Amino acid sequence: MTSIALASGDWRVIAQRLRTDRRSLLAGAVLAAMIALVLLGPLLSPYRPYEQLDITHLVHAPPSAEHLLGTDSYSRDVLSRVLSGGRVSLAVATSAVLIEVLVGVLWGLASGLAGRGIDTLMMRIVDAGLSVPRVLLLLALLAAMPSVPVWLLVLVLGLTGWFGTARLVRGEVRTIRGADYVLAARALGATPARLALRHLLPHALGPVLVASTLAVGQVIVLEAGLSWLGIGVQPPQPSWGNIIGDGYEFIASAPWVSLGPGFCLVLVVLAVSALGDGLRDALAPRQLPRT
Amino acid sequence: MSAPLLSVRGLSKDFPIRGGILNRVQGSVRAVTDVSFDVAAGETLAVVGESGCGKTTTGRCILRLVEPTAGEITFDGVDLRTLRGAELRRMRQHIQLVFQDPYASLNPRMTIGDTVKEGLIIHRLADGAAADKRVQSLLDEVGLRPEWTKRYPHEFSGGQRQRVGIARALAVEPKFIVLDEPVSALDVSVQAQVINLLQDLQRDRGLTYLFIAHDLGVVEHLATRVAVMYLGRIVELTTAETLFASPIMPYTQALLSAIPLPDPLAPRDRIVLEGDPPSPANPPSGCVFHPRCFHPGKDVACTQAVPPLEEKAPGHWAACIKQPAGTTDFFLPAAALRSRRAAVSPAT
Repeated sequence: MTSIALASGDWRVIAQRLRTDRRSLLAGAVLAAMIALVLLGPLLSPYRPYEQLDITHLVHAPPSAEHLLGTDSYSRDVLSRVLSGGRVSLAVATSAVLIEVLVGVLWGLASGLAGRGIDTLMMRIVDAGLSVPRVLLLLALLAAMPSVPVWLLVLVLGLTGWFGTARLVRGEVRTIRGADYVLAARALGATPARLALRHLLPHALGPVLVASTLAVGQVIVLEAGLSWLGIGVQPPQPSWGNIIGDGYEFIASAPWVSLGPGFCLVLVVLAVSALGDGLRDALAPRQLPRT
Repeated sequence: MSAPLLSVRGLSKDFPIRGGILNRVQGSVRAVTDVSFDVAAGETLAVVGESGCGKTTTGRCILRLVEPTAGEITFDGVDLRTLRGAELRRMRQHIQLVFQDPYASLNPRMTIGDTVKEGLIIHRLADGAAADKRVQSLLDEVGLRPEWTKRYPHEFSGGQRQRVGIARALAVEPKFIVLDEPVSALDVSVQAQVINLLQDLQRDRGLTYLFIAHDLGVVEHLATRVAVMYLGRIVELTTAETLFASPIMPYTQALLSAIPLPDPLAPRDRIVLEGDPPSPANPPSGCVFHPRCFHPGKDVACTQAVPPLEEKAPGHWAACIKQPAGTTDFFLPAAALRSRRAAVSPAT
């Protein structure tokens, strides 16, 4: 007798699989270290991220014991800016993904539970959203705005990214809303809200978790791209994207300005992606001997 | 007989068939056609028939899990079809369902304790420690260990899961339970245990059952009365005893002759029906059974008029125009049945 362990929905089993997967462990450790670094940034950073230390003598100083990642064209300490910018980049990405998940899950649940007409309408809206390249959509929206405070950037990033999540959740809801155990809950007199939260949503949670982990990586890159273009996080507030942008002009003479934040960006995105893949594997159904 | 607990009149259910580029409705399948029956408090009405005859749909219409196309369903004096929203959810406490498939019917992400507890919470019958205690006593009542509440469905066998499904239904103290082939997916030895459990529960709690089955052997043991369905219609309805002793309908006779005998060497006359059950999307005219019927009196009239379900003998309804009312004189190739009964109980 075998049983499918994912189908058990037993989170202990999933945690156990993650703990025994070396890739996920490494990715988790890297990510935890980076998060700890940027959170503790204000305590660790040797200088203030906005401070122009010595505009006459310290412009583009190469990495040294005093300035581990060198200084930029305004004589600011790059390490301090990377730590501070990391807070911004990670906070923007995770908040935007939270909005994505919230809107996507609600939209998907509603669409999955709705009748034919409303479901079709809601999914055509999703199709429309998915049919426009996200970068173009973002460029158009952000370029149209006179100024882009960080909260608005988060909102715009979140509201352009939920379409995939909505479709994912709707699909999961459709596949199990006719399942016997869902019928049993209806026969018990469960309200639609109870059905959605207790029986349908938990089924969709695994795939949503995987998708949103991977989405964090995407949004970090997106935000960096937008900031590099100058329409994301606005200077002098640092983010990894605009620090890379600042250094771009001097990439030949002072490569350290871009390389420091670039390295952090790549490391975090790789770690997030690896963790997402690990989660996907851990959540995949597989046959286990019956316990 | 006093007023029945459940009364079904003229129940029909059509499922639309969609197709084509525009996904338009192109036709319909008549899953259930003009079904009427009563169930008295405390009895077990069995509904039998082959796959696709509409027995499961009938059960789900009673529970309003499937919206009937037409007909009346009266439960305990209340017209179920008029109930909406919260009223309907309150009524659900009184009518419960046990499923055929013990694997699909339990939420794999919930412990069995939470599954059984859900009804208690929905209907505010108990909460906190009192609810946990109720769950434990329910598990005990269906023959499971009370300390298993924290376990997940995948940790149990099919028979044990079916007991969890029964405990879930019992939790809300229903009067009426639709048992939708509750033992068909189980091993024969486990079937007997679950059947005995269902009988004990009926006795102890005064439950009324609608027992859907395709296995007449199980029905004979459990049912008070039996309704035989064919292609969405009830074709014969009587007490279990009468049905097994003197079935009127040729279809019922064929079903009875198909019951396996414990003795493989016993002589038997199987009635083997010709052909397949017709498609419910395109049912035959007149008596839906006429293409497969072996009644010697079968003639062109059978292909024209839909036979009404008539009381041919007291308490014995059948839908056959070749069977005159008021007689118990059947054409019957009864040898088939006699040989079966002789093999089952040589004394009679």
